[in-house]
Amino acid sequence: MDELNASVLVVDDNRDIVEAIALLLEKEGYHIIKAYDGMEALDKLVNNQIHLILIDIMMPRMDGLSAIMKIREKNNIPIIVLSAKSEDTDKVLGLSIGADDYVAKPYNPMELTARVKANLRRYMRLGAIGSAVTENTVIIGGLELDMMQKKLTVDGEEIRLTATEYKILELLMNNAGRIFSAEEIYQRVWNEEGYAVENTVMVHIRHIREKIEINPKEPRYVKVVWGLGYKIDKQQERS
Amino acid sequence: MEKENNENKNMANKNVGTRFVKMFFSMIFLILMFISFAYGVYRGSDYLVKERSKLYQENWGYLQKEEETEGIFIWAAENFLDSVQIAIRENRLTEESKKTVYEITKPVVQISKITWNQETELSIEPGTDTETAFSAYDYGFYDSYVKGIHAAVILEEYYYEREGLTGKLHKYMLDNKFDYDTFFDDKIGALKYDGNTAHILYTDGSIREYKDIDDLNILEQAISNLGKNIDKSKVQLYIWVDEKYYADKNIQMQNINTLRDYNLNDIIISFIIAGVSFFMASLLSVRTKKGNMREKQIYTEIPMILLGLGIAAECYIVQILWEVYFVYNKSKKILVTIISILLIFVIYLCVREGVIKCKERRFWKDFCIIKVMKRIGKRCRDIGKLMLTKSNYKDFSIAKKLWIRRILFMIFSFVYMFFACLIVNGVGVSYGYGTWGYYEYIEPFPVILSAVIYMIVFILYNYYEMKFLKSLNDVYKQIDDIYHGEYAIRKVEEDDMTYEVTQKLNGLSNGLGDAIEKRISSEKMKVELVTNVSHDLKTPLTSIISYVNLLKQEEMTDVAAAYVKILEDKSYQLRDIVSDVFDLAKANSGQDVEIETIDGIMLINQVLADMSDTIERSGKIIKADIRPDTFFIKGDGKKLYRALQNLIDNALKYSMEGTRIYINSGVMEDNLIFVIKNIAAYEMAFSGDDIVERFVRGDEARTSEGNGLGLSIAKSFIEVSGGKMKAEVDGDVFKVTVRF
Repeated sequence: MDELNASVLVVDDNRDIVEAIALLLEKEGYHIIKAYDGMEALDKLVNNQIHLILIDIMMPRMDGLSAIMKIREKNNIPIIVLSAKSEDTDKVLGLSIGADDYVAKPYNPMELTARVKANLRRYMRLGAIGSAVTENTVIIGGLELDMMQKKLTVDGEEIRLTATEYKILELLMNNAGRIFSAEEIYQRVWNEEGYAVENTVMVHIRHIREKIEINPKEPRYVKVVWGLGYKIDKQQERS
Repeated sequence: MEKENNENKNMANKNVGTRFVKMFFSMIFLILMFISFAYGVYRGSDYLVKERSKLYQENWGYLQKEEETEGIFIWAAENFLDSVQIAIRENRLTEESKKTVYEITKPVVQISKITWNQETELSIEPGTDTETAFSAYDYGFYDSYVKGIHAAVILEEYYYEREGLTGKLHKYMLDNKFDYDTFFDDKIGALKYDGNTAHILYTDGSIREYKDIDDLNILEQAISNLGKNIDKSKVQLYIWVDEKYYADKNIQMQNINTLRDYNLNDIIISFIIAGVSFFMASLLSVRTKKGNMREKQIYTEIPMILLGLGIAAECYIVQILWEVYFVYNKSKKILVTIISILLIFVIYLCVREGVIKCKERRFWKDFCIIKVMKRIGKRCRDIGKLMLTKSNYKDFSIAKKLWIRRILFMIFSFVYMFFACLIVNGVGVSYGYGTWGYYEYIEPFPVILSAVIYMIVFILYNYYEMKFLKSLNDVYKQIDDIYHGEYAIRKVEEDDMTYEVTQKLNGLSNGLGDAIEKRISSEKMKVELVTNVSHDLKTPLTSIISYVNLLKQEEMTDVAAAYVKILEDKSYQLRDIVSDVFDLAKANSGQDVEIETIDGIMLINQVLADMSDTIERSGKIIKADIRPDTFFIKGDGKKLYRALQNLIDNALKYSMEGTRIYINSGVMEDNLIFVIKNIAAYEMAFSGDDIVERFVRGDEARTSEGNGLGLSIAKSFIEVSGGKMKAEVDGDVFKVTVRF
């Protein structure tokens, strides 16, 4: 099944928004199915073959989170939550219930499109989420780092990295969850003590972000822990 | 219903049955008690009297002790011999065929210079040589001792005999009345002396030679004084005690001999049985059904007093037995027994009454005195309350109340001391005779009583003071609790001195609690409001952005495209404002804050590094001097990043072209200080405090980008992390100082 012809279910109680998203995604070539609350979404799921769901949280009859829980009982397709609630707690809640991604309203349409594409790619090609360290490959979320060939694949697409960028990413991915200060990163990657390395390291990290993140301003992988350093999170297991 | 009735009847029957059983057993015990008690008393009184007699006899019996026997005999002998001597000398005795010849009778007989009076004391004029023969005897006192001592002395062919020391002195021709060897045979107690040795028959039956040299010398001397040419070897002296006299003086012997010996253990056992039966009988005696009280109740005092009297009477009887043992006989014994039985019956009734009262739980209630005292107490309290209400005592302040109490107590103390002085100085003093003569002493009773009264008042006074001080302490504690923000409510009685104060404090605490709750709920409401509002704003905003985006992709004229661009920009700006407002509201309410220990220096460097391309694009130059290398602070990293970002953004946006922005950090007095300075591109017609307020913009025309929230948000985020931010305007220099 070609991802370009995938069916996407869009669920929101606001018809205008559903319309807008439908128009946006149809331009990309996706087939759109619409629903306006959780119950209807479940209905459509039963009767149609769907490859990705875009769902809002605040809906009547059945809200988004309950719908996701119900869907996840039987179905593994990627779900992106679209919600005006944008707090960290809401994001964490959504992701731990079973969503794969979270986009806050008002969203940047281009970002939305990019995320849909990425998630579909991942689903088609990879199919599982979690950090798995095989002998030579590190997989975190949509990132797949092949240490033998020194190659990085993001959601199925190969991304070209400079040597330094690769080294930094390798360090962070192999120690997922651990916080490194700029000095530590510099020492390990450049193999020498550095002075005032914050700038250098930050620049490289910014470049990495721009390459692998859909929205570099809101990075999902390489995160800055302000006052402490940088890290890559271990991705959450889907329950 | 019928079943219930049957059950009740069964219960009643059972109850009646139990009652009969109880009554039966209590009668049995009662009878047992009477019998054993009577036996105990009957035998016991015998035993008591016998013991008492024995005791008396041992210690004060007539001629029971050896020294007493010896002393009396010797003395009687000496006295007798002296009187014989006198009689011989005065030659008053003439032979008259075995009859009385010489009588020493009343009235007073003058013998040379000796006045010898049977009835009264012998008084001798000092200086006479017969003084040594007679000591100053108090005949009256010794009369009873020697009245029954007979004496006889054999001289040549005559013998002189006298019955008792004060009896008649007879002179007889010698016959065979006295035999030295068999003299002791029919006697109870006697002394015989043949000029050389003396033998004494003691009343316990033993015969011993008497060897006291001094006494023997006296006897010898007395015998020598009888006459010039006396053949001492033929002199025999006999002293003995009269049987009847002896028996009369030792009545107790009668008691000891006639009363049977009873085993003390038996008597004790019978009393124990009596006691146990008494106990059981009184316990088992319940006249009433369970729960029902008798109609007529008597005051508890009556049985208690009777009980006391009964016990006292019984004790008195025992005491009488102990003291008048010598008039004891069978009829008296029977009388004692009967009276004792009656007394024990009375005692039993009283105890039973007491037990019943206890079972009915009316024992203390029925005390007449207690009832009276309660009434008196209530009266006093009523009067007191009346006085209090009439005198507005309640309205007095606490200090005044304490003062009044203190003054009253002082007055009382003075009065007391006045009376105490009176007492010490002679009021209530008694006089008496004592061993050392005449003296005065203070009756202890009034002194002790008044001291006790004073102590009681003193203790009461202090007790109330202590109660008040404790109450005061609690008030302080309550104030302390309120100060610390805790909910502190205290309950006090209305007559407690701190009642009003406590009520006010309680009101304060309640009000405080309410205020805090209101504040919390209003904060919550604020955040909820902002959340809801922002959500409601974001929804249409999303539509706007989406459709503007779609519109952008349509074909249109350049003018239209320009318009669309503006729409897009503004819609994004609106989105930023909504986001900022929401962030600000949350930060102000203090929610969603994660305080960690982070490196402040690293934070500043990270922010600078993160914004490095924004800085480049702005064309402004940042001069950074960051020291020291590390300094740890406590705060919310994400929020602080946002705050610093805002500050730097602000500086970049509003500083004049071509000028430098100075960023410094240092440590002063254990605080991290971060300063960012820039030259403003426009005239700053505001103060540092104003610009930090929400929606205040330096650019009054509000043309440029920005919404006036940047500095506000920065300040809120910094403060919520525990830091302080201050903005200052000095001419064209805009300076922001952040302190951690």
